[in-house]
Amino acid sequence: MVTVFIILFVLTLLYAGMADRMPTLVNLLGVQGLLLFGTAFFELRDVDMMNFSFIIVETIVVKGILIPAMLWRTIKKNKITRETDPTVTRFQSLLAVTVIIFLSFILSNSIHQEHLKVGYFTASISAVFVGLFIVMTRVKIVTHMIGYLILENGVFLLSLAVGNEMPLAVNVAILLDLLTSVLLLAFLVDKVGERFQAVDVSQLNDLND
Amino acid sequence: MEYLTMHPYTFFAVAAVIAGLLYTVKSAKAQFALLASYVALLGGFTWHEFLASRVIETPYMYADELSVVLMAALTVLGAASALQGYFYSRNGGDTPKRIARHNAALVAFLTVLVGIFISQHLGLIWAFLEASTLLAAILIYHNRTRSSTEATWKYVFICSIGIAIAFAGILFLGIAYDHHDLSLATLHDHAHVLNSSWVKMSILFQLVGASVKMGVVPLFSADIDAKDAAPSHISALLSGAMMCAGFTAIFRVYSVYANTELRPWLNGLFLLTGALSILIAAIYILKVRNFKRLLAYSCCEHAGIVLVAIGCGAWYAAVLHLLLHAFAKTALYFQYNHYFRIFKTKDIHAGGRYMSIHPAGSGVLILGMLALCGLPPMGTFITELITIRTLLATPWWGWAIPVLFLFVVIIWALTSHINGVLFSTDNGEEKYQKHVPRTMALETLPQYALLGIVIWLGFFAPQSIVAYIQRASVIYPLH
Repeated sequence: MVTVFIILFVLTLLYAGMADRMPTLVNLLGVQGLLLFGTAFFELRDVDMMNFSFIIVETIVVKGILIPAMLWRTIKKNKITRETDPTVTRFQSLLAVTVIIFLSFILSNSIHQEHLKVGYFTASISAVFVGLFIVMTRVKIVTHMIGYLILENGVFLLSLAVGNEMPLAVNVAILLDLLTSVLLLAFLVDKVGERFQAVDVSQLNDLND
Repeated sequence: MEYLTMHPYTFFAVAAVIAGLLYTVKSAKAQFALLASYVALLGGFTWHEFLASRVIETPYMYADELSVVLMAALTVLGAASALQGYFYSRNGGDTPKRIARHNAALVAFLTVLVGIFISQHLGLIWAFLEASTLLAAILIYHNRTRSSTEATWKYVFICSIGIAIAFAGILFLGIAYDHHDLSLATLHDHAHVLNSSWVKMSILFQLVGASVKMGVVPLFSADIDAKDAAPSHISALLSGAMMCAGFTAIFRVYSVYANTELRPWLNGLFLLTGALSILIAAIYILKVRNFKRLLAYSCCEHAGIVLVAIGCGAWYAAVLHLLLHAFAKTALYFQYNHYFRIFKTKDIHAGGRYMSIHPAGSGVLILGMLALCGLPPMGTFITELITIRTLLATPWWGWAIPVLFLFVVIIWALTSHINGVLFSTDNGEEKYQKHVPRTMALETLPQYALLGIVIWLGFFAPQSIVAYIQRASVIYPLH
């Protein structure tokens, strides 16, 4: 069952590479949150109840519902419907994402560690680099946020892949930080929209040497 | 000594109450009293941790000598910045609501930095680093202009990306060894049996993540923009206190692995990152016209010097240089505020005759320039000398040649810029002289005090303080 979730997660990365409509990208983030919930639910049954409940809340409430809802509000408020003039075409983007996933798969299979879960590791490394790729190739700052959140989802999956156990207090702090940073970024998107009358990265050039 | 007991959790709880009160109680007197009480709390906690150094008060948060040294510096820098913030708000005509928000964020920011200094768990250091980004964002955004909006967005976004990469790096340690505990003590105990390839990858990712906090390559650019757009006392904190936080994150990891077979690789990595940062700084210092960006690029240079010092094994010089730079740069950012009030521009070439317009401020600029250039009588002369001498005695002695060449370039560029401000007769017309209120000379007193510390710590510090800083810079002797 977990393998199905992982495969679906990788498919959302491919779709994110092609998509240029904002609502699609935001929905994909929500779907990723639900897939992470499913993965954590089936994978982490042997951890203590407190940590298990926390991870469930983190995936389904924060990643699956709250963050996409905030992004929906932001794109509606700023009337952002689609990514315009990305630096690469949809085909090139899809090709690049495919190459990233393929290379991640090769890398994961070349690691011979007993406790490393190869499927998770492939998906997580792919998500980290696909997130970075989206940040580098898109021009809307909301899309940059989405790229960052895909990267964050990859890091979450990586923590499942390697089985690190952080103290609960640290996990809570990490989740609060993530939630606050998304809130702050959404607030700043609004302010950039108000002050620059645009939400393109190319407009942010007041500060230079 | 029971009366001195102050648990870290108590400190965080009291600091949270003070921050809450600062946000809600908006009268000027109450704000001043609350800020003063926070500085007293910070000083008291530092003193407590000095007495209780290496006593394990909580599982993952307890101070060692490095924490105490950095907290002592933070107390001085925090007090100076709070005072400068008071002048800034008074001259800038901020509303009480905005001042309250700023002061509450300032207290929370300083408290989070303390958290970084005393954390002994990689996950906890990471969480505090991310929190420091969010609180710094509130402070950078203070003026709510186009440039502060742009700088805040870039800072939060690039820091978040960097810190997410750093977290991935921390998780790589889970692949490198079988234990799941990422506390520094456990990592240190298992440092020799780790899978070195994954540890290298982990350190590389963590260095990239912390680079934005320390202001070195590769992610230094967001830091430069933030220092440019923030109020000058916040730029000072980002240059001094935040650099200390980035240093802590990097040095903690370095000290875990410096006694393993990874040491040559680690030293090479730090030397390369440090030298590249100095190179980037030199290029920009040559061409930049914006006073604040000039100071920001100078931070990049000094952070690079600190990394070079770590890389060549001059750890005492690294820690001392970090402290001296923090004090000197804070004084210079405060003085920049005077420059802006007189000339109404950030353009360093638009100023002139500063020596006759504002003699007290000119003294600060001269001493500050000497500190940034690493020239006597400033303590940075000693730390740079130790760094270069240590570097020359290592197998990497060849690195000293480009580093020294870049020092010369930076000294030439900095002295040209500052001499222009002080003595150029092309600008700085007589009209400016009338715009310098007498209180400005009084406002330079804290700046001279900070520069006095730079001289004193470098040349006249008592043996006990030197020995304490040496203990603070010893790599990972936790047990």
